[in-house]
Amino acid sequence: MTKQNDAREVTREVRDEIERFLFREARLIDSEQEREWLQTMVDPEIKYQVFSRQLRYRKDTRGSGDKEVYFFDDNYADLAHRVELRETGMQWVADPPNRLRRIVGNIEGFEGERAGEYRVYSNCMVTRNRMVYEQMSYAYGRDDILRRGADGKLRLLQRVIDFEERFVRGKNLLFIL
Amino acid sequence: MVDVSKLINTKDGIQSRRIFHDQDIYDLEMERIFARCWLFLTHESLIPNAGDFITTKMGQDNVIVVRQQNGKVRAFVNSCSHRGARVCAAEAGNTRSFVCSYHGWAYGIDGSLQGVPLEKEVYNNQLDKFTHGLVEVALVDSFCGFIYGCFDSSAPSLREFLGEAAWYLEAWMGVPGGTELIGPPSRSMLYCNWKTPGENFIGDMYHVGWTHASSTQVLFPQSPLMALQGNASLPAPAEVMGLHFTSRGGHGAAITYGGRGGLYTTARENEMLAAWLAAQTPKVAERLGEVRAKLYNSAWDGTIFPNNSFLVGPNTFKVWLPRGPGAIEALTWTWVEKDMPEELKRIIARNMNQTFGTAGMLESEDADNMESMTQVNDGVVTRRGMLNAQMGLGREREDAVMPGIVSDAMINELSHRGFYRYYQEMLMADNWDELRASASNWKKSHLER
Repeated sequence: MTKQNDAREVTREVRDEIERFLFREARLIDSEQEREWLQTMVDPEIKYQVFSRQLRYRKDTRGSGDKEVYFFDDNYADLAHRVELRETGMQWVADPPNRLRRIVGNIEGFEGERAGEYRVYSNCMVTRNRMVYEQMSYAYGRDDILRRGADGKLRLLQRVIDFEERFVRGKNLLFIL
Repeated sequence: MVDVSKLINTKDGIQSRRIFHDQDIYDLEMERIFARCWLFLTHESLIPNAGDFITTKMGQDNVIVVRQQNGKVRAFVNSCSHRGARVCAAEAGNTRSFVCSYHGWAYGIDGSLQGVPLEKEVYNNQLDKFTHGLVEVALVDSFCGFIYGCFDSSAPSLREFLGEAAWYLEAWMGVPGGTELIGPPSRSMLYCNWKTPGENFIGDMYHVGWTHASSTQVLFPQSPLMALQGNASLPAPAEVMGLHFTSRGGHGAAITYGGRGGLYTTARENEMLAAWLAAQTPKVAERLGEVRAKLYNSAWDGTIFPNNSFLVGPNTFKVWLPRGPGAIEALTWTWVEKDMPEELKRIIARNMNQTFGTAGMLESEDADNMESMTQVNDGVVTRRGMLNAQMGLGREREDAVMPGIVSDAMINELSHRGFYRYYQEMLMADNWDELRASASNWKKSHLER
């Protein structure tokens, strides 16, 4: 992930708007309102990716094969499937309900490559409680692009997460990161 | 001492719950199964060049698998001969040597000790480097490009170990053009016994309609497997839908006829796969015959004993690495056919990760079952009981064409029983000679009522 150290930061007003967007998103996802999130905050052209890098030596550039595996490589329809699963009422893993709680911080906003787009970095810590005894925690950084739609509202156009925990002790990532 | 004879009753199709719990059983499994069986390491396609390596585990032993200058693949225990620290911290790459991070002992890719820092000054040249190479995995071989290793030099060849299952496996691993794995694997922790996912994949079609009730409905409306959704009825008698097999070595699978297609999320993706299968099927038939061409077009869930599972259709390839009686590391790759168009390979990998990867919609549904069927046995009363794998009992048979023992019902627990029959035999046998001695009799004893 190339951080845009020299890129132009957004204005204070836009910064506030981005922060409100991320906080609202966190609240919707954590309170099982993913349908609302999908419909009001996600751009239909979304690219949503979470990947894991194979650990290789710094100097090693000759090794063969792909270096990453994609846990998520979703478009809008794929995300809709994930939301739809719970709505069937037969997704036993979500019943009794999982409880998610996330903290979003280290938010930085920059003018994007195209007008009306913002490049937004943030860090997330999520705790997932489920099934009486299970508590799992996840920490990751997001590299997002938000796009302002015709209605003037921001929507998530791209999210790329370079997931750092190579061996996922929290079993699975079956939630919106 | 564990009384293995009481743990498994193949004739009645029951197993002690202790096999998912007891530490002494686990220790015996490590000694008698994981230190003696062929275990999956990697695929030829992931280490194509000299010096290419991957690190993995055989049981709980850390190993490095590396391609030699002469093209052969060898494997070594990833631990320095000096004080035991690991000599490779990376998961994969290309190298000329493995250097211990503790004192700098350096090994060649052939495992030989090549360099010892300050050798003259601190060892007075008295260290015998020749006897301090890395411990080598006794046997390494590949089947259709899938590389397995075995710690026991007296074990049968990989081909013999796979036995009758090899005939079946060739129907997807050994197709014209060959197969490859798309790496790197995803790696995740599950708090279950290593056998629970293996027995699920080996042929549990019964759970598909129920465990995966939501995902089959949402994701697979175009698949024949959709018919199982809800476990309410079968669209056809189970014997019309597919078959089950088990083999001498405990390997087995459930095969759903015609089920390979329709498992991807868009019509276009499904059409691309269908076009590929249609073009390939005559070539498969020419090489492997009509029966296996039919199997090539089927959906499979199978396990290669002891801890290597796969699906044909979703094209997942898994290894369940044990981490004690109640935990595993799940490694997951996508397998594809080498000659497939690049776009189709990417489609398959994307769909595989969405269903059976770390954020996989079906994977997580299975995990809860595997964990709870492990963890409940913490209860002393609970684990006194036996488990039931009697489905289809008495309906297994030999076939003129299909090797091993088959059953004409896809929803069945024949392959569970076969897995645990061999599991028990391995735990009881003192060595491979004993296992060889009972080999000729296995069908008779399995079919005995």
